[in-house]
Amino acid sequence: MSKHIHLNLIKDGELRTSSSVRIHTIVPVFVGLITLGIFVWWLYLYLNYISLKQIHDQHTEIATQVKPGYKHVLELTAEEKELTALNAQIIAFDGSRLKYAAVLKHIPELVDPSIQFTMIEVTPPSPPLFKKEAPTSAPTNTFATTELIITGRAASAKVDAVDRLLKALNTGLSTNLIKSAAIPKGSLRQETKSRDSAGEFVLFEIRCLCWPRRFQ
Amino acid sequence: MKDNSISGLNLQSPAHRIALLVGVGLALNAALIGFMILPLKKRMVECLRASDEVGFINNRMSAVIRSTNQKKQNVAELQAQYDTLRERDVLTPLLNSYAMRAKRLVQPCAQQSGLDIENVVELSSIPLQQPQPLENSAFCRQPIEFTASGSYAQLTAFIAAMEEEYPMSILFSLKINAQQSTPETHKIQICYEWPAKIVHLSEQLTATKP
Amino acid sequence: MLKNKIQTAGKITAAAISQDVVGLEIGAGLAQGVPAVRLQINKQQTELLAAGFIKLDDRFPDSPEAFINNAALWSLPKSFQASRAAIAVTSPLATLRQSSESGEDDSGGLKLRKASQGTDNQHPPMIASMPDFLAAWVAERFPEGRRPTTRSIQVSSAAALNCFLTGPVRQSTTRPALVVFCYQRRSAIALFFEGGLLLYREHPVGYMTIKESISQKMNMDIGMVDTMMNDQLVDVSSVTEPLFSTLFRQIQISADYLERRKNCAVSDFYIYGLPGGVDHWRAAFQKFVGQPLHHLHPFGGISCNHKRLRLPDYFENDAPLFMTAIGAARALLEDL
Repeated sequence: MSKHIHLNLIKDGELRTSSSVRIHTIVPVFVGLITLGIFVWWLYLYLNYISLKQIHDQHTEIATQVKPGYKHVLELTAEEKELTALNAQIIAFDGSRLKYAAVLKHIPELVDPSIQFTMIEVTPPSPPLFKKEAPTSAPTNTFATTELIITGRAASAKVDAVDRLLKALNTGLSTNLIKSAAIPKGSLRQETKSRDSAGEFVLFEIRCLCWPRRFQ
Repeated sequence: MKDNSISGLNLQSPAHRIALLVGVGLALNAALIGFMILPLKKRMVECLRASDEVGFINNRMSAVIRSTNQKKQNVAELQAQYDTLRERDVLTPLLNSYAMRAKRLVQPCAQQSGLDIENVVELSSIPLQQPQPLENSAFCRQPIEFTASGSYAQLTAFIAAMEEEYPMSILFSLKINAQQSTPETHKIQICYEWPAKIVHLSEQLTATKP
Repeated sequence: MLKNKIQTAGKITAAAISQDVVGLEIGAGLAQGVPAVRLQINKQQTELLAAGFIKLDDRFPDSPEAFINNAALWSLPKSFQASRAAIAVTSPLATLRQSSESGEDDSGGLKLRKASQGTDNQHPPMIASMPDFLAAWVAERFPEGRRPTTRSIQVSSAAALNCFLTGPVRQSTTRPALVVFCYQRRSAIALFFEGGLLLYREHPVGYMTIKESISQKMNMDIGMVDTMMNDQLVDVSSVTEPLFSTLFRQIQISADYLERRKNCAVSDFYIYGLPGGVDHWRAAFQKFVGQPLHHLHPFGGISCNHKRLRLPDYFENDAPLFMTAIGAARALLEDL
């Protein structure tokens, strides 16, 4: 026997829940939370960005303060480089020096009295080489060669004295200046006899190749 | 009854309203990410890169600055060396004439040795050869030719005196011609070269300005 | 096994969480508002948590075409926000009848929603019906996600029966009883035999019918009629007798029905729902039927903590008007 009468006309599909935890609530809340999360994320990134910017500004400030000192050091470095180059140039010039005094003083000692010099010449050094395509550029070689030419005459009978002179120029003190000495072919010749001349003389030419001048 | 539909959605239906709300919400979120988050992240990356770059440069500059005193010392030493070399060895023009300067320099040696300097001529300068070729060399080789007369002994004494007195002057060329008329006195053409500073036209004009 | 245990635990938890129900009667057309009561089962005792008239817009759509799509959702005062609501609908379209026939559609073309229940096997079942659109409209009044949500939609005639079925009188005796449920313009006559509902019928005379007749015939306003009937200053039996006689005649016929069918007489006559003039009704009944008429309080069997619950001043006079709301609430409570 039923204790009561409950003729319920509501359908199952019409039943609702009073709980706020429903899909109709959860999904919008979830989407809202995502939106909020995005804002929080943006805020976090923005604060990080501000911090980074501050660091960047600090670095820039430091750079501004440090720049004059750095510029000064760069100027010093450039100056150092320039001075080093200038000094090197002068020193390179100095390095190319050949000393002639001792050899020129020594030559008379080597010469037989029968020999008479007509000319002593130190030739100008060979000119510097340049690039064909850039003739006004800096020289491409670092050495220059020069010759010591001794011309003279000796009695025909005293030709040996010329040979001795030649040998002497190839040895001893001369070797400080002279790399090699030689009588070029054809340069030893008979002097044209003149009316006034007392005997027969030969003309000779000794070419001494001096050590190269090295600019270094 | 009013038409409460949007593109087929029935706004009376809670499910459709929720779907529309969620769609709008997701679109908004996507827009927020696209227009706020990503650009900000990009700016952050750029800022970080710039900051690192500046920081790196600062470190480098600071390291370089630490060598300031050493650099100053080096420069002072080099300057002193240069000043010495320049004052002692480099030929400077006298009233724009290297020949006159050279004559002044060699006169004491000539007098000392007895050589008689008759004439002095300035030859064309020659570019200075260098171990490391420099396009803009500060110095050149300046040959000065002297015409003199004297004996061989006087000449050798002169050359020795020059080598002693002016180490930077180098015998460029020499020609001794024996003279029949005066066998003891020879005609001498002797040329010395010095390092000389290349003076540009602008410097010349500046130098001549009152 | 596990599933059953979970379901049982769920039920116990649900039971433990909240056993309160708010009962409302809508469509009664009372000037005071919509009668509402909030009841809960507390230690197997029904307790009153709140009672009163609430201002709600309970205007029904009277046809599917007039379905008010944009009708405002209801929101109850905090004291009435139970977890569940049982709504009793008073409407000419919402009917209750006792029928042995099944599925007869006399809706006149309207789609009806029906529910039937038999009180015992010996008697025909009770069938409640109302138009589907009306039930759907009622179901949507309370929004989701807030308290209360509608759990029960009942026809008010069926809801009112529970006042007696769950009340203390029926609990204490199973003697045959005839109960009159008095509404504004109709009265329902329910004959209970051995605890079951033997007969149910309705008669188109209610307490307002009586009052309006007096008011019309004696040319006085309804308020004055109330006073007269309560204080019995004037004899209005000449006016009320014709109406009473039709109603009481039906009561007599119903009582005779019991004697014929069950060979026993009605032991007790009860009446619910009279907001005033009870003595007048009693006197008329005694005179006509010759039996005492017992006026039952719809709050019978419901405890009330007067220290916690402060009832309004009008409560004593208007208590009978909560008959349907109480019956609806108690019906849902019994099923929780």
